[in-house]
Amino acid sequence: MPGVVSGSLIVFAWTFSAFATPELLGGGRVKMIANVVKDLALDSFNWPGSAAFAIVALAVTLALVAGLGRLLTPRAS
Amino acid sequence: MAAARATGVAVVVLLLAFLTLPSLVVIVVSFNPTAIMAFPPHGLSLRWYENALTYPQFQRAAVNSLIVTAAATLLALPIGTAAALALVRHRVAARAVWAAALLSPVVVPGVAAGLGFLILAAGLGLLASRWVLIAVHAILVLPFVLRSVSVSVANLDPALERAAASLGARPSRVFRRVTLPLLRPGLAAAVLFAVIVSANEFVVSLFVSTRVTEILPVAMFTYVVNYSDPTMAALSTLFIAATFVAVVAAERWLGLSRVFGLEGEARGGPSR
Repeated sequence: MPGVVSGSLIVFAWTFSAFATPELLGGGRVKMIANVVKDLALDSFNWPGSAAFAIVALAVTLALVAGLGRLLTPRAS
Repeated sequence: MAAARATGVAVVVLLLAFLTLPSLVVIVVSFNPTAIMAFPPHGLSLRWYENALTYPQFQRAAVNSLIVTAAATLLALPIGTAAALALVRHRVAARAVWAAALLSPVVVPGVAAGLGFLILAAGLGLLASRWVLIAVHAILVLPFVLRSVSVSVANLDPALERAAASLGARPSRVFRRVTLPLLRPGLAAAVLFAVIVSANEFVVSLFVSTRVTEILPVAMFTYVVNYSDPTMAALSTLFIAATFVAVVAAERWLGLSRVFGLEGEARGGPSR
């Protein structure tokens, strides 16, 4: 079960910040957080707004990784 | 029982098909004679390969890719090797922090890293410079170098180096004649990983490259956003083939599985 949970977390963290796949398959209409970051930064030159979204993506990913580390550490320690 | 087994086999076959079919479709579509990505294609043609190989922006981007990948690998290899030696061998202060920092590029979302590097490069006035791209790639491949070399360092018996030192070799000579040769499998795997990761890196590069410095994956993305003909399928097929050849060659001549410890000490310790 820990393996299933950690596998799911890795997939979620990986997919959460996916960029190329939604950009190409979504045809510019389906936006995920990474696409919003890119649009704001490179098309609108709104770096602060873009940074806010990027920090959200970063925080979610790091939180997941931290949770993962806790999950995989043996209880005894 | 037999039915359950057959179901299991069918599921595995379906999963494998799901994983490989997109690549197969790309390969088949690349031989399309028409500008519409028809599947299955009505005939065979190499015109999109010609278009891909003669498109000027692709040629420029391919040269950029070679420069960036080569420079980033050469930059990351000594840094990663030094870090691996220090972290595995020595009691480094705040070792967990160092390890986490050095491995973090794998975890940080590409867009977050890309935006950070963009803002940093803009602040330094280096946006048009190729060096930003090289530094970014070196950072991104560092975790892979560190991991592969660490495995080799962990398998390296310090007694061999002590023996060389006790026979009168200076530290620099021990490093060149004993340590480095014994680390070779890890270093080779590190180079392979660095090259593959750097050559395929896209998201972060998109943020810090210009039309002049952009690498091949970025040029391909720009092309596919603007045009929809099988040129991209042709170029992707070449990419798939190159990566496939690299991995097969590495497995054959370097023994990738050995580097990962899949066969462990079964071969009787370090070979050669």
